[in-house]
Amino acid sequence: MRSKPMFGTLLLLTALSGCPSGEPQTGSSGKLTGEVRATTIGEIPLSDPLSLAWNGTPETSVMLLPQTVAYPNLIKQSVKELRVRALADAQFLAVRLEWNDPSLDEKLEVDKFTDGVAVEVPLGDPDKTNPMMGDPANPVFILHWKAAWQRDVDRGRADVQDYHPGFISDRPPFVSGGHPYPISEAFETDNARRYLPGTAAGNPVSKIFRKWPVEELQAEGFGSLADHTYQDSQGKGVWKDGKWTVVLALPRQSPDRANPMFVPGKAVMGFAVWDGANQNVGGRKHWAPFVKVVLP
Amino acid sequence: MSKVQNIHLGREMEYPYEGSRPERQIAYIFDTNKCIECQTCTVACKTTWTAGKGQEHIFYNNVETKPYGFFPHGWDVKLLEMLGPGEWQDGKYQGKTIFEAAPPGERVLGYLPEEEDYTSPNLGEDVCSGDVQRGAFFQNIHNTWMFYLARICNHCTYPGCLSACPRKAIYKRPEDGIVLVDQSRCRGYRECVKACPYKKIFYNMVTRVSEKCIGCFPLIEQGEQPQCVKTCIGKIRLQGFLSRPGEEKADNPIDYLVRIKKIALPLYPQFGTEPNVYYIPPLHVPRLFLQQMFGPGVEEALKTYRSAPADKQLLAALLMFGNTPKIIHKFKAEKEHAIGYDGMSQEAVKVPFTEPFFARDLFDKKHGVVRLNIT
Ligand code: SF4
Ligand code: SF4
Repeated sequence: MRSKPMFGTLLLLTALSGCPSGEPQTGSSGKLTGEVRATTIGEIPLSDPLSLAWNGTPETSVMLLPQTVAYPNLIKQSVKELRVRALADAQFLAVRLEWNDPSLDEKLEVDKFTDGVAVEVPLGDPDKTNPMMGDPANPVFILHWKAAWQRDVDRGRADVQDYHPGFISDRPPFVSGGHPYPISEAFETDNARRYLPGTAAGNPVSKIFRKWPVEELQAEGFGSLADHTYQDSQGKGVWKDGKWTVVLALPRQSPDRANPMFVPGKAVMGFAVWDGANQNVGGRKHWAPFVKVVLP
Repeated sequence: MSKVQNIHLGREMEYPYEGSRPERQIAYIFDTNKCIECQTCTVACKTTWTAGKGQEHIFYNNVETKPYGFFPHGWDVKLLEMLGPGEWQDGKYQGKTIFEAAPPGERVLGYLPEEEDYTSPNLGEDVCSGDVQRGAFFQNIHNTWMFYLARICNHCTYPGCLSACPRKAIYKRPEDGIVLVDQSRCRGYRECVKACPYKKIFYNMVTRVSEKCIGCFPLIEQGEQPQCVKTCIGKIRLQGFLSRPGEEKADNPIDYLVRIKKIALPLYPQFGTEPNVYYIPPLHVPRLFLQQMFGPGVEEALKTYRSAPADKQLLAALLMFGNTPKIIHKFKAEKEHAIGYDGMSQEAVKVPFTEPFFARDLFDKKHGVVRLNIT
């Protein structure tokens, strides 16, 4: 574990809390509700969402709403609150997102949907940016984590035999090796990949190998989500005792001009949560409008 | 929602997008009376397009036995139940389509099949409508019945799949109306799987995106009919192009059979997508069942079908089925032959109205054997 003592936390928070758009609220639980305050740390424990280092930064409670603006809507709300903490080091701004979810949903099949979470940051003027996926004049940056991708990273890409043990079918064309023709080994040639059409077409969703369980995206309105060529962000999620704890780490500065910069001061961030058990996917999501993030 | 003209329903209907018909619409005619359920079409399609991993349950083409066969399980009865009854009056559908019956927050009325619904694709195969009673015999009317229904994507004029996709990753080609999923843009939301009333769009758990019949567009672009049509053993299929309504040409076999003779009918027109696979209904199945499945034109279609032996033009159009890999754009009836022409107006096929008859001696002198007639 790489947690290191924090420094200057109290002084910094006191200095920043008097921001012009109003005092943050403290709820009955003692949590912040109006803004997220990041605390500086020597090195963020990126690989351990449950690290005690996260206890040293205040928790903000973010109320979630069902998405009902664009088709298709989220009809049934199943997650009410997202608990957010933020840490910053020289390289990353990391948010730890925690929410209650009684079931771990990481399987993708026709009727199985994955849990997920995303943060959204305006790339232009926050006051002009629509928190519902931005618009062409004011695009947004999105960092999306999915439980299914976490499974891919932790335990290898889910294959047919993982979901359907003992499944046997004819030899797919042009594959190498023998049964069960693992997708991470047997489909190396272009000819074999032709029978994985999404992968052959370069669809990021169809990637066979994934280094991180997160994806950097850009949007300029509903239905416009597009992935970044360069992926600089990181993340890690853990499901334990009926709740997800997910760390999303965004580089503070990136050579990629499509990434936001996180300089000391203020930023805003929107949030979205998907509950796989309730068939949340795409626009069928829980969301929260922009929340102020105070950065050291 | 916009108002569009649905020619199958004889009225305008609500649709999420403006109506724009392609220059010409890919269309198919399947003669259910000739299908032998050999599944050659299914295998031809599967080996061409869906032999990969994650595609095991994907059948762009399947052939199911009605009334008890379904792939995926119960696909049509489930949706019919959700949609509720709808009346036809003077050729006009009075009920609601899947777009008009969409629940709040949704664009389309649909359901997402479960994983298990894709198991046993031959469920209900060859199962009759009821038991054959002891002592029953044929009295010109079949007491029990079943028929084979070959199914592919209908490349609908108003696709349910396309209308439900929040990313606009599904598109309809303006040049031929083929409906395709952009494999590079789909994010696997499965809204299309839920919305397609025919359940002819599938989720691939390996690539994590949706896939559907591509109408064998590389063949179409070379003037050839799709794999499932070319390989059909029963010669039940014809693929061609439908003209825009009002621009029908009597020498185009698809226009002629679908719009002029009205011998082939859409499958479940009440769903509202204006599907473009047209079926010649089976002759021996109870009319009510057929009317629910193919709409109010069943009786007339069957009457016309029965008249084919005496109608040379109609017979000529029916002889275009299964006799050439080329797409037939025009046909004509000559004295002894039906002739089909490709897109370059070149003769592509010449079929005799009466098959030549050869009588051979019973004894083959050359080989010194008695000939057995085995056909
Ligand atoms: S190949 Fe033709 S006859 Fe055989 S099952 Fe398919 S449609 Fe029916
Ligand atoms: S049959 Fe289904 S998949 Fe094909 S175009 Fe129509 S709605 Fe789309």
